Amino acid sequence: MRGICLLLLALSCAHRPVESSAYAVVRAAPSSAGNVRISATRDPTGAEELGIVEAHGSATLEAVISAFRQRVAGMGGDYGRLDVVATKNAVVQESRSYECGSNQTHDETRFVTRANPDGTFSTGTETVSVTTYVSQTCWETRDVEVVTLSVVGRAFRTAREGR
Amino acid sequence: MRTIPAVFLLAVLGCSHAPPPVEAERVLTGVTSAPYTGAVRIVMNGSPPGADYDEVAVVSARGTNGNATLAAVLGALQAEAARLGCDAVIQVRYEPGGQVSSATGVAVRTRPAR
Repeated sequence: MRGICLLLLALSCAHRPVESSAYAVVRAAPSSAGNVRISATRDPTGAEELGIVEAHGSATLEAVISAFRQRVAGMGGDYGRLDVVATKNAVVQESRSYECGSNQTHDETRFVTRANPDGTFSTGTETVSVTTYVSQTCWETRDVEVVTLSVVGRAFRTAREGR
Repeated sequence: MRTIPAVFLLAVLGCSHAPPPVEAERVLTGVTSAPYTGAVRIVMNGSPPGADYDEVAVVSARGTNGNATLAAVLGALQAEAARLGCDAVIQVRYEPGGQVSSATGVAVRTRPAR
């Protein structure tokens, strides 16, 4: 039970979604189906700037840049210029459940039958202590530092596409 | 008497948990080359790169717990750049934290001076 809870917690941490958005600075263009080239250092020469694009998430660099790429393509661009690639830390609270059962002892009364020396039987009661494990689920909340990776840049359409 | 060395050994093994390695990753934006064996320059964001260069990849590194340090994270960034054949990481940004520290940058290869 505890293992399953930890596994679920690990999976929930590993798959935080990447979010992205875009702001067009020119009239909307049809989506580009082609490859989107990425550069973090150079603007393309002779290209039309289409808009501002950002993507962020507590995810891998590959996943965040992939979301950025998709936004650039969605604006009709074929070149994404990364102006900012940065990480930011934030402390969030995470809850997890775990097994916290314990052994509990209680008295039980039993009926017992005994053989007497004269060959007869007599029935009586006796009290015995019985220990059993009582399962219980506990919850704990802890502070976890989460890194959010964000990229901000611009979408371009270079002269080589669709002209 | 034999239990004393055994207990000591267990104590040493128990205490010698190395911190998790720094995770580094990259997204290629240029062409890689043979690994670079020299010292990789770190150029912080806002500082001029100092030379003409070819962009090779966006790189990032993340260190946790005992490796959430400037030295460990920037060292991982340099190692990742060297693997790609780069001699510098430019536009480096470092985000310190208590449990996690991270850095991003752009791995580049300096063009030979003419």
